[in-house]
Amino acid sequence: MTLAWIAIGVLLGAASLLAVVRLMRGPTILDRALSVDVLLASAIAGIGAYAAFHREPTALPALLVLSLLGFLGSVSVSRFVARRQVAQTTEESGKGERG
Amino acid sequence: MTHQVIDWIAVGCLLTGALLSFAAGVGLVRFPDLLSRMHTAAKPQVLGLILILIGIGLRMWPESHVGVLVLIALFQILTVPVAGHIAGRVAYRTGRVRHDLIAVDDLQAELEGDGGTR
Repeated sequence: MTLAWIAIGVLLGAASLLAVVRLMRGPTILDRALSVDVLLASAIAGIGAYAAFHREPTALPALLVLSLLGFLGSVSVSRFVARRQVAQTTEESGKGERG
Repeated sequence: MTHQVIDWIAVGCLLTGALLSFAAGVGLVRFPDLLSRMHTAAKPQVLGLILILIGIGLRMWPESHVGVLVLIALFQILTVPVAGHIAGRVAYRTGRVRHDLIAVDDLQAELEGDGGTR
């Protein structure tokens, strides 16, 4: 049993580290937003594992908030990229309309 | 006795969820382009999270907080596809997708069909 708990912790930590590797390597901003999403998923899983280990329901509201707000980051980054691309194409060609 | 069995099932669920998280991390580092990375990243966000929530509920048996857990799963199921859809759409339309890796590309024909204004 203890070994299983340790394995859960190690796997989640390794997942976070790999997500951070992708976060640093990029290459585009969308890749980074995606890896932040995965980092957040690992964090949710980690808090959940903590709550399960200690049988402690006080961590559940935090999970609720994280699962609600987690997608705001990637959505806003995506919208930002789209808008910047539209601005660039309209500057360059005067008629570009790709969003 | 029953408690022990339920605990083992809960730990199994949590372990599978953690494994999915780890697989997503490996996929993020190993996969070649954004769309395939999005494919691997969605696994822990939905299936992994639901497995972890099942594990939490089983560990807190008999007063498992089913309402909050179902609410968490519901919010995640509602928000993850929205984020994935918008990220994929922006990635395709700003040319951050490797076209040599796509086997069938229906969207390309659609975009060319109406002059790329959609």
